[in-house]
Amino acid sequence: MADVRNLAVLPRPRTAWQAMDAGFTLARMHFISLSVLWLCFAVPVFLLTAAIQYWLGWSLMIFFWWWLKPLYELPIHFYLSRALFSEPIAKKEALKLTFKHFWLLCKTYLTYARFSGKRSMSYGVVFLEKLPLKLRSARIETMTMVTTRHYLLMTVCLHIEVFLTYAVIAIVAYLFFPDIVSQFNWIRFLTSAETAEYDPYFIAASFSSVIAGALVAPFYVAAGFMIYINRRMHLEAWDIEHRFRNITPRTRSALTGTLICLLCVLPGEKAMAEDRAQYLPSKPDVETSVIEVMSSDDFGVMKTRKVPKFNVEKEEQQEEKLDPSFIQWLTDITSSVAGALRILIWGAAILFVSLLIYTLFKFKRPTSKSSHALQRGSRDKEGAKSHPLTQDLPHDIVATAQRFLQQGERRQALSVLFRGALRAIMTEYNLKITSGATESDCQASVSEVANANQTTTFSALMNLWQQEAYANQPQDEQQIKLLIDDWRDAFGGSPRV
Amino acid sequence: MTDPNSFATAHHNLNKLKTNFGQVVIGQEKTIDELLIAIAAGGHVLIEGVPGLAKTLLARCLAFSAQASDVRIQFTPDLMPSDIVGHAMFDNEQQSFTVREGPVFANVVVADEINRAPAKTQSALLEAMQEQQVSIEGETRALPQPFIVIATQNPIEQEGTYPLPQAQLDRFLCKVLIDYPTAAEELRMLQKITHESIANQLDLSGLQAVISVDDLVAIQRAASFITVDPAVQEYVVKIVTATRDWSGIDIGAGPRGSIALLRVARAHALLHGNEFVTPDNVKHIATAVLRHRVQLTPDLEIEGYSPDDVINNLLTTVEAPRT
Repeated sequence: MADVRNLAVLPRPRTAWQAMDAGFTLARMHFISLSVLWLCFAVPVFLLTAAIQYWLGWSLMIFFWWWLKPLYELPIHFYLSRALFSEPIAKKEALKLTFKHFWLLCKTYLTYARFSGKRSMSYGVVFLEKLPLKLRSARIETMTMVTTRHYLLMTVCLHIEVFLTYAVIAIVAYLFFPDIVSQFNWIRFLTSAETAEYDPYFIAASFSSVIAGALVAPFYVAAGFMIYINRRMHLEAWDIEHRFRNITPRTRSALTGTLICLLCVLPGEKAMAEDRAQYLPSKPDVETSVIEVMSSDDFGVMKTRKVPKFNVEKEEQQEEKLDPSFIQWLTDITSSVAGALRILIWGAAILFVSLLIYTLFKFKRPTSKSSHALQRGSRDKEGAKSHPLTQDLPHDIVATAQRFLQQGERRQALSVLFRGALRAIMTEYNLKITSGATESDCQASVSEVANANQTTTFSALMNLWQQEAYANQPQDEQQIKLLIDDWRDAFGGSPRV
Repeated sequence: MTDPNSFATAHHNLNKLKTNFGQVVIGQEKTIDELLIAIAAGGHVLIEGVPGLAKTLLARCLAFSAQASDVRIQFTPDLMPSDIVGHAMFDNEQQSFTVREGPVFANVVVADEINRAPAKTQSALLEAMQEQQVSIEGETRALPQPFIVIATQNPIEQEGTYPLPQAQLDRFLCKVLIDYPTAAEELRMLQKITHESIANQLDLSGLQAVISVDDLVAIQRAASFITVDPAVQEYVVKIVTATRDWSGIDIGAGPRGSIALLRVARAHALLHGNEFVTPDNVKHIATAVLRHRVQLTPDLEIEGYSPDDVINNLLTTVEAPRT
């Protein structure tokens, strides 16, 4: 591992946000180099896909270019990993390292780990630590345990940045080529993704995504890398190590200073130095000694010693050589992945819509007022006969009330009359009265729709009913009989006896 | 059974109070009604409203109109229980401890911004409200009758406040909401208050002492004698029980809610001149009695529903008595 004393940033525990800031600062410092590194792979791949788009079609071409994004990011990662330790490497070296790790890249980020939500954070684990596959997942989990949400938010924001960059590119293009940009057929561009039609303007429009990527990707990789480094600082106490390692130079300089002081203050030091000079060899003696050494047999003889060496690198290089059928294989697998992706996206869309509908119903169903209102509404539609206020009423109200009155049950008689009047009005005027309506609520509803005779009778009936039922004051039987007659006139019923 | 004479006098006195309030407090009729009903029912009132809506004025009006002793306590975070109930202090001349009674020994206590004091201090007052007595140095002292606490709180500016717990809110018979006046009422207010007035002081000059403390007690007694049919009692219980089963309510009202609702329904009937309680009386006042005794489910709160919305919804569904 590189020496922590050479870190370009001060090692101290940072929050994930601060680590991202540090990453952005690092990316700004090396921005030109990083953008060029991005373009080194992105442009050739783009040109290649553009050249074969006739066979691939537009959608597969863009998908293919997008799928290889980790390849463009890897040189940036290698460059930053050295720059962070104050050992900047040439761009060529970063590209070489990328080639060297290409197979590992194919096995990870260009296949199953392409959709990893922790990509730039986990490059360090895969390409710098080079852990075996079994340990890698656990290590990535450890390294990204507390920072995933910060990282995801940053990823979303950087995607917004990409769209903003597209917009800027479009504006700049419009400034230079207003005629072409204004006549550019966006709808055809977006809808002709499946066609194999060749159009240089389409390629130019697609190329804007390469430019946008070159402007934004360095920040994405740098932020992820610094989150990774920050986590290591936390876990491995780099800040403490840094301080310990700095103790020795500081001690040494302090000792030197002390010695200089001592030399300055000690008297007679000059005389001692002169004494020592008397014992030094003279210049002719030194020259003679040098001639003797140079003329000896051993001087200038080059000896070669051969030792056995494991041929690991050579094997790796052989593995890295691309099989001619590799491209075809990659194309096939890409089409399969694209097909699967399409199904996944449709599935996700259906799931999302279902979830949305379910959520809407969930929030409407059990709690809201509207649902209760809906319940009441459905009750009202059932009609007055099945309304809870009136459902157990007899058919002939007047006869029943008279019977109760003869039996001395005034309260029952008035109850039947009151509810019977309500039923008559609800039926006649299609009036909706809730089961929770009190007497004054009923009176207010009745007076809105009923005629004057009905309203007057209902009010008189309600007063008698309230006196009888709630005041426990027995009402005059004759008065109730008169009310029954009025009731018959107002609401109908069996003829007078 | 209701005594017709005492009922008529109590009804008359209660309406005199209402008219008298109207001399000073412009608009806010519903609030005045609910406040008077709660007082007639012998309970304590929690008034909630933004600053400057005459909460304190209402309380002062009551005390002045009924010739009752009143005191206003401004609740602050550093208020101690002894600042409310009183404390024992050593008298140097007598060489003994003497008890100094706190401001709670008054007929009408206005606890202004009750939620600004910590729970310990709130509890001291709420204990006095419940027990109608306080203990100082082991000696129990009865509070003057009638003892009415009118607490106010501000629904906004919740920072640095100590919201009253559900159990303590239950001690208040009613929670009265005071809303902004209408434009016409506010105009009348401007004309009345700013005319020949220098500062923002409470103007009680339009008030008269219309009843005595004994009359106030008589009103409370008359309210307690109002007839209630078992069907209405059943209706009260149905409403309160429904709050416990209602889908939008997390915690419903307890049995104290039923008792409070019936007491307040009696007072409502008295104010409106009814010698008996009807379901209308119950329904009209149910919101003021129950709004602080229920706790809505979080999803309803998030959707912006208030307890009033839910209770009104519930009241349309609970079947009123018909037989």
